[in-house]
Amino acid sequence: MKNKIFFLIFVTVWVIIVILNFVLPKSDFSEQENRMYATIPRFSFKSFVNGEYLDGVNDYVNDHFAFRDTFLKINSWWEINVLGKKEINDVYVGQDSYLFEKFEFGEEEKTTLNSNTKIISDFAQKMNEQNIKTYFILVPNSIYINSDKLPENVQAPNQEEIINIAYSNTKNTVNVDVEKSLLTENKNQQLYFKTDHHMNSDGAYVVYKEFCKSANIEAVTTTDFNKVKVTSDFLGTFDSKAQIWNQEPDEIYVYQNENNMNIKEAIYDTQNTQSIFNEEFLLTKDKYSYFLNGNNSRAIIKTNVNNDRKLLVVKDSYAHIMSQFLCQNYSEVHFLDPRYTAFDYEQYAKENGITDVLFLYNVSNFVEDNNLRKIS
Amino acid sequence: MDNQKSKYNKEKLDTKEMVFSSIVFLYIFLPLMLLIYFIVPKKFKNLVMIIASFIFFAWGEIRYIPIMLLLAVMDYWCGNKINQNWENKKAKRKYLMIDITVNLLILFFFKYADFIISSINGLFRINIPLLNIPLPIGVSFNTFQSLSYIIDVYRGTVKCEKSFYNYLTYTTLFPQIIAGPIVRYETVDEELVDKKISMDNFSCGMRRFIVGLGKKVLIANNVGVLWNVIENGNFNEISVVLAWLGIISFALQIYFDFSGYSDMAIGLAKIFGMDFDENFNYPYISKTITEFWRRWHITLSSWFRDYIYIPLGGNRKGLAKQIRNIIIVWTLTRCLAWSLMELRFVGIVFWNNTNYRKIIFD
Repeated sequence: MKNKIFFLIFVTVWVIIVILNFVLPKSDFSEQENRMYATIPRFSFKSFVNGEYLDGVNDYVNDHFAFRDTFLKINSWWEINVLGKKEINDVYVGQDSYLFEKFEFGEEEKTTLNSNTKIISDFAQKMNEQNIKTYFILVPNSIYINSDKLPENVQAPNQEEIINIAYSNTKNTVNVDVEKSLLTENKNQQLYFKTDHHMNSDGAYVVYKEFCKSANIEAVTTTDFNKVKVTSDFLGTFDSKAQIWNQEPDEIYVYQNENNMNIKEAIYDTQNTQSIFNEEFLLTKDKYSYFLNGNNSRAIIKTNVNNDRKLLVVKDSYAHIMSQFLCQNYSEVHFLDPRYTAFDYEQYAKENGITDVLFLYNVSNFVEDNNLRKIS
Repeated sequence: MDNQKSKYNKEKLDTKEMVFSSIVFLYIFLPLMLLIYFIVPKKFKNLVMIIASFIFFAWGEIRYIPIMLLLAVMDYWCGNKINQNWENKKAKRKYLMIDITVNLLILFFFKYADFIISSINGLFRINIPLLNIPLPIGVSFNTFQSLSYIIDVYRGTVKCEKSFYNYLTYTTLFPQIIAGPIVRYETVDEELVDKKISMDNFSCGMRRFIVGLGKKVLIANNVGVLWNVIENGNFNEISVVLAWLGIISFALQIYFDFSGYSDMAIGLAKIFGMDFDENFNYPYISKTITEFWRRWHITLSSWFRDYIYIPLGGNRKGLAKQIRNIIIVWTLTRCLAWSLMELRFVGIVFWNNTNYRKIIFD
């Protein structure tokens, strides 16, 4: 009798899941995890013999498993509440709904850091020869600024030391220290998203203010902006990785004013618009792409500021949320992302009449990303 | 770059190690196989098992399949030859020796070829290239199964298998291939012909499989994380409490990993209508080392007892001989069965020859 009941329940559930796996429609892109799903591998004798084919099948089946998102959430619930884990898929589950990505600073990261600072120094020297000033901002990550929110007994490398190493290695630039004011200001307000690896608009404003100080330009005060909430339903990359079952979403605010709401032109990789914001992304999972239209190899913002100053920003995605402030003081801002381009930036600066250059990176990306070498 | 590469390799190992617990196995391979297995008429059930086994082995190392087939042909042939020459002791012995030698040679080739080459290179300062053959999944278990069959036929404790079809089913059986139990021919000879398929067996088997899966995924993998942290720490600075925690977590991990795989194997076999021997019997309650070996990986220790220790005289020929016999068994266990003992490394053992050598010889 016991066997009969077990048999009926087990077989029914099993058969349903198996059948659903075969018949449910498959999508190519995961909204939840913000990545492309694995595709069915192409069969060849060689890939079969060396195991690649079957590995591919394995990945495909894993990615397209019925109710995958639900199962991932169940898993995160289980790991956090039953097993008491504080780390899921390399993401720390901190206090106050804060998530953090694991960050390590080892030999390999040191090497990358040194080679990147060397590239910036060399580039800045070339710029100096043309009387173009180069600024360098290394923004610490949430895991350092909010380290008091980390799970107990988790220690993250001291990013202040890393920034100091980077700044002392980088010559010919104006190095902007943003770390201390971020630490101070963070006590008063939230400067980083809880579910995403970026800083929020308030964090960006702190960085902007420090930049203005170093560049001797007048920062627009917060009172001259209209602070608007554009969404309260943002689950960022940390949450995508960890799939926390009951994660409280982030809110995204924007500092709007005439300078950033009313621009002449915005030129992106595939389209030209008249805005540095793209509302369409607010309807998708990838809401951070609202700023500066997501990842583009090049984004050129022509503003209505008439001062003939043109800023070239060599950056990672931390610069996207900075765009709302950077376009306050320049008639043109050129954002170039070495991850997606490879050409001579020096030539580019000459051709476009650039007057200032800014290297804007976050620490964890700066010590891992080897794409900077592509700028020359 | 290197870091990325090693991360990638690690991920690959993880997916490889989890053959029974992988989604592909649980939701595609097993249900489809069972469906076909239960539908086809009785005489084709072995065929389904053979094909399923080949797919399962191909998952790991497809190149081993032809070798496995040839070994099966040889075992079958030698078994029959022994039977035909039952009265002729010399001929009987010859076929037994042929079969044992070839089986052991193949095993030693896979396990030690590269070790021997690198030793020769080191000794004579020459540079013969290494073969870098991955150790095929289940090669040790196949050897144990083949040897137990041929020795039992020679001793007359089992009848030789008249049907190659059935023998091939026996030698390619896949449930136990990852971590045992070692299946002797005498345990399953009747079930190769007549399987006890029933709803009760399915339910019992499936429950057993689920228990094993839980032992592996829920317990072993999680205490394994603790052990890995301690293992990778600095042993010189380790505190007493942490050291004990490390020992305990390792002991728990290896037991639940090992017995979990055995449970899954026994459960699967039950679903297919076959009974495998039990492999673990609460080993950690043992009061002595001897008792421990009677409770830990039972089929392995009893294999060595029945086919090596007792034939050598066991404990019946005086203390000196007994000690000699124990030393022989222990050395052989190390050589033959190391990969079975180090189940923790099962994935690495199968998939990365370099690491494999490191585990054994460092």
